[in-house]
Amino acid sequence: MSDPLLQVEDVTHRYGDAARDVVEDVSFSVAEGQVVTIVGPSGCGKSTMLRIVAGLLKPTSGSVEFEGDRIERTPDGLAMVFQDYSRSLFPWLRVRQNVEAPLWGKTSKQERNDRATQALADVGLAEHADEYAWELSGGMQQRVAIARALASHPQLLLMDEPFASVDAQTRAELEDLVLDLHRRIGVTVLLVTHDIDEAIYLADRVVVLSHAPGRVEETVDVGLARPRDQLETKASPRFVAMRSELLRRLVRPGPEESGG
Amino acid sequence: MTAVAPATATAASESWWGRAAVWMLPILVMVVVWHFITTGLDSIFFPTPAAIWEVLRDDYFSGSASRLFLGDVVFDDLVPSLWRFALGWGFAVVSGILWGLLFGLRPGWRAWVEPLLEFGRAIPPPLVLGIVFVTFGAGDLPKAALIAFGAVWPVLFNTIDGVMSVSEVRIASGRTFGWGRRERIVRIIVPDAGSSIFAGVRVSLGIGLILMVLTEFVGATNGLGYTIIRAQRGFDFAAMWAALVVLAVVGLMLNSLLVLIEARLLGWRATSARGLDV
Repeated sequence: MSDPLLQVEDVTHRYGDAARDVVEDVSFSVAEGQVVTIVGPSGCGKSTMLRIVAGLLKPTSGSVEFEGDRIERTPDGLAMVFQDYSRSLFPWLRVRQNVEAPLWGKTSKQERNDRATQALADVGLAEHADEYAWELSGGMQQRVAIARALASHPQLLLMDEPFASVDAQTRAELEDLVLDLHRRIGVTVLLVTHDIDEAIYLADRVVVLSHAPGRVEETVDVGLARPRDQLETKASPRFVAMRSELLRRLVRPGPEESGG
Repeated sequence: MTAVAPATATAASESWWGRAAVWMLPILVMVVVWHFITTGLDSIFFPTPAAIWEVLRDDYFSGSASRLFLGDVVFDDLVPSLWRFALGWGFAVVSGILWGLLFGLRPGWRAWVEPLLEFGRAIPPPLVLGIVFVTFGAGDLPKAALIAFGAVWPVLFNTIDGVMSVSEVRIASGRTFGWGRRERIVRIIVPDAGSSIFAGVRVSLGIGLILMVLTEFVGATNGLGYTIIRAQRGFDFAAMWAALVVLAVVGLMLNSLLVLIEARLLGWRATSARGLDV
């Protein structure tokens, strides 16, 4: 097998002079074309892990390599979708300009325009290009954020609990959107979530982090057939078995918490 | 998937005439009320609108066509006033925003200057007016400096607040686009802090106008404030009121200009005309 697109090795991080590590000795890899999800309980450092991969945070030790190069800052070919879309989008720009923003100064105007049109069509927002993002519903705003990430034609799409702030039905829609984009565009996805169902449903591989400090508890190959279906896939014996297995490992202390 | 109803329609759909009427009617009502009160009162301190208009006509609108029909007082007093105001207020806005950006982005530096800023803000400019004039003379520059000194604070503090309340996630988004520090400031922080900065600019406009008049009460040989104080001392109350009316109109025009600029720059908010459905 060829080198993975992303290689995380022995990453440990500790904030400032905090008493203990947020994540400890985390290693995993993401091969091109895969969907990998990181799942773990609240406070296990999974968002920190993703910020390190994005080059937003320097790990205390360990290394992250993207296409064989060590990440110092966000490399070209890497785009990120944040959980909090309303704080991540630019409310003073219209939807189209939001999507074009990552391309400012990097491509011709025509190219920007074409890419934004395509990205908005990909997420089903072609008709909302001239509205302000804040005029849209939460689910649609997160679609704008996804379109913005796609506009830069990333090889690796990072998603930090992208659907934690929307209602259950919208969440299912957006999950299927990600699967659909993965199938059509072939973008590699690394997604962080606290929701075990979501983690299994989307992924080729699930990286399970333990309670804080986050360590890789295990890495599970999902092996469920694609395309997947919210009802059928989630009712399949393999999905159910995997789900109870992961639940047993993760949710011992109490009920599942939301937020990140 | 439902979109929230666009909120931009209401204000724009009203006709130009409708908006002009909304604007003019309260002023007209005030003039009429003023007329009846002053006619009944018959006091030299409160002249009728007609008497005030006479002064306005003779002093402010008596010029020839080549002078745009504007009278001597406009050129001799209003223009010098506005020049000093523009100088002082312009400096206040520009420096307030620049220093505000700096201190907003560098909370460490801000901590060091904070006591000085609070000290400066606490000094009422009218109280140092005498000292400044004795030391530096009462020319255009010392007057403009006093205007700037009074008007800079709301701009400065609002800019600092605006910058510090920019969401961390938004800046992180900019980083993931590969934007450097300068791009993040210009493309994220300035527009994001824009409404806060503008609120400060509007407050500073009022302060600047007050100080424009006030600095002309002492040691001035021209200006709107000088006109007011001279008329008052000469018991020419119609002239005093006329100057006040001109001052009000100038304030109204400058504020309207700011509102226009704000609507252009911050139109995306589009909430001002809507009101809240509480």
